[in-house]
Amino acid sequence: MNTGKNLKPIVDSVTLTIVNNAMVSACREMGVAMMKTSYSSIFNEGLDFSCVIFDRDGEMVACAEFCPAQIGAILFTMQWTIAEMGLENFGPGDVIMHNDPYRGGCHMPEHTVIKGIYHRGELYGFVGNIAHLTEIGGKAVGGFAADAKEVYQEGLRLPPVKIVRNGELVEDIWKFLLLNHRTPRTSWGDLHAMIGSLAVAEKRLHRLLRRFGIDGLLDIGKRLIAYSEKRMRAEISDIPDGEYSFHDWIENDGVTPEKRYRINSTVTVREDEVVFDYTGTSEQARGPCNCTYGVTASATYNAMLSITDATIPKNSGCYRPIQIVAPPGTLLNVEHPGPSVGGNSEVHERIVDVLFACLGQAVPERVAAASGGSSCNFLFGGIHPDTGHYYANYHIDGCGWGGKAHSDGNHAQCPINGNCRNTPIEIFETRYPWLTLEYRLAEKSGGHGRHRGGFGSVRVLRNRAPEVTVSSFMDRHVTGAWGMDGGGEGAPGRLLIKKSGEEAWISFSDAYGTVSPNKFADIQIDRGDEVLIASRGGGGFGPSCERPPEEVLHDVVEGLTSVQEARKVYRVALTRRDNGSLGVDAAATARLRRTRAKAVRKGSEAGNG
Amino acid sequence: MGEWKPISTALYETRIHRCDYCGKMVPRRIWVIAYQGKPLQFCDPKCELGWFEYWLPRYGSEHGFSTAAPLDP
Repeated sequence: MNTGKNLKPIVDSVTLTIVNNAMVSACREMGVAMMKTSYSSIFNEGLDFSCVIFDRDGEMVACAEFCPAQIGAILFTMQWTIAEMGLENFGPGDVIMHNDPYRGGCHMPEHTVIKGIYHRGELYGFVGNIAHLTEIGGKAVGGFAADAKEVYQEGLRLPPVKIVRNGELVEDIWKFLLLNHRTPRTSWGDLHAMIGSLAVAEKRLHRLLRRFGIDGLLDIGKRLIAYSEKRMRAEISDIPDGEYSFHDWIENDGVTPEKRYRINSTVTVREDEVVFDYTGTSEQARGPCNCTYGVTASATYNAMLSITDATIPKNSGCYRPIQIVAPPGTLLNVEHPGPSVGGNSEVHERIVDVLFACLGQAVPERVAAASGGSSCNFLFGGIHPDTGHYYANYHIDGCGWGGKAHSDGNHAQCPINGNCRNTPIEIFETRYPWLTLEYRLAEKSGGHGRHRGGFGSVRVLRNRAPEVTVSSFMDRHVTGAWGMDGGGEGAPGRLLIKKSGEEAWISFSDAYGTVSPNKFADIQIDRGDEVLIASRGGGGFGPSCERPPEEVLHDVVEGLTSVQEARKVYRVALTRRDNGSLGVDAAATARLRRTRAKAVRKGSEAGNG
Repeated sequence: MGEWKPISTALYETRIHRCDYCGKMVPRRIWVIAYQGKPLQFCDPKCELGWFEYWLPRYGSEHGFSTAAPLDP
């Protein structure tokens, strides 16, 4: 029998590649299983989950194209669980779950399930799934207590506990958990989908284990990790050594009037290692805009993976040359009992923007201008008028991404922390008592530039139910996303309500007296009330007068800008051709751009004089 | 010279041990050293190295460490 104990180390790169691809495919299959068997929209439409394979030393061997926000944090939730439980307390058929943000998690809704993989009675490693449960109890429906002041208001918090023992549900835990969720049937279905996805990967790993044995597969995993580390070190070596600093602000925490919070970063590149130092960041907030260490680490890895070679296999090796300094008790490393539900969904992408601004000082060709930087978190629930059952949903909207050195920013795309999808209107209206009156790009919301920022979106919803309880956690409503290298700022976002029978759009603060217009919980709106969610545009990259005239013409034809704006901002003159179509007036454009160049030079001379 | 120390916690304990360099939470065992009479704790010996190479020269004096002292504890 092949136990794998006497296998020679396998070193050829073909085998390494094939096994890596097999493991990545297993993770993808876990995701497909989640999508097809889960109950809630945030899973089967939004794909807000990530699936991974770990070896028994707690090193991530493989993952797939899931949420960057989770792929960093799951390193810590898995490692903590293994350490706290002890390897000796895992057994075949056991599934352990936890959602404690202080034990490595992202925020309370994110639950991690872990299962040991055994071959001939010996532990090889673990498969894991981290996913955002829509409803977890707490003070606000939808698991997003946007005005929480401590973790106890955010929902049911679980340390690592066995929810399945030797293949059987641990009923006491399930009873306890489901009693504290507002939509227990949905939690039941979603958790079973998560557990089922682990079984999919278990089957695939058993096939590999039969072929290579435990020692062989462990050896392959270690070599893949070493390979990724080597590749990442080579990438970092290409970044000029130096220190690069930047900062940004979170506008408010939802509970403290007129106080903003600083995200500070200094990135130090030294040969083939890099230190991300967040010293100088504000102390942790009273409200839930704090990040856990898991979130800050995820954002850091996200930024690095975004600017390095995408073909590097994503495993623990990628992270070895990256050091993080996140002082405890600050916005980016919250301590008990600080709340943190908003950090993962709203601050993660702002951290990435700050890191792009730091790294852009060294490698501007690899980064982007600031993104709209918000998931437009809008939570709602109540008793469904059609079914009479309690329902809850976590709704997200995309934002404009920042322009890059080589291309425009994407329009209305899920922010960089998520890689999620939003729910199609047909599904949304079938499941929830809303009517979608509008869903379009937000005009002129992208920052101008040689490569313009992506546009945000506008969504207008009308409530069909007698009553809906809503919560929201959004930022970037005061200042827009910054441009880079002379690019313009993106437009800030808006969240407004129009009460039934009235004409004016007003803020939730004006309507309901919330401390923040964009971070609040548990507001009840009535039938016929309309909500407008306008997401933010991305910043532009490069001076707008350098945008190729033909691209400006295309923007006008597509309705993304106007003839007047083309002239005023982009210095491009357009003319009507004989056949009625618009064309570029090359001579007039050249004159406009010469005039602009002179004006800029005169301004520079005045500044230096 | 550092050593690993176990972290034993009661079921009701809410405090989490943190690495003095990176800030990461530490579950069940922690790397401890003493430097200039002060105890320091890390999630890993690599973080001890990072603390001496990166953190101490930058922030040591603000936190009561003499950075004029030799780095070898």
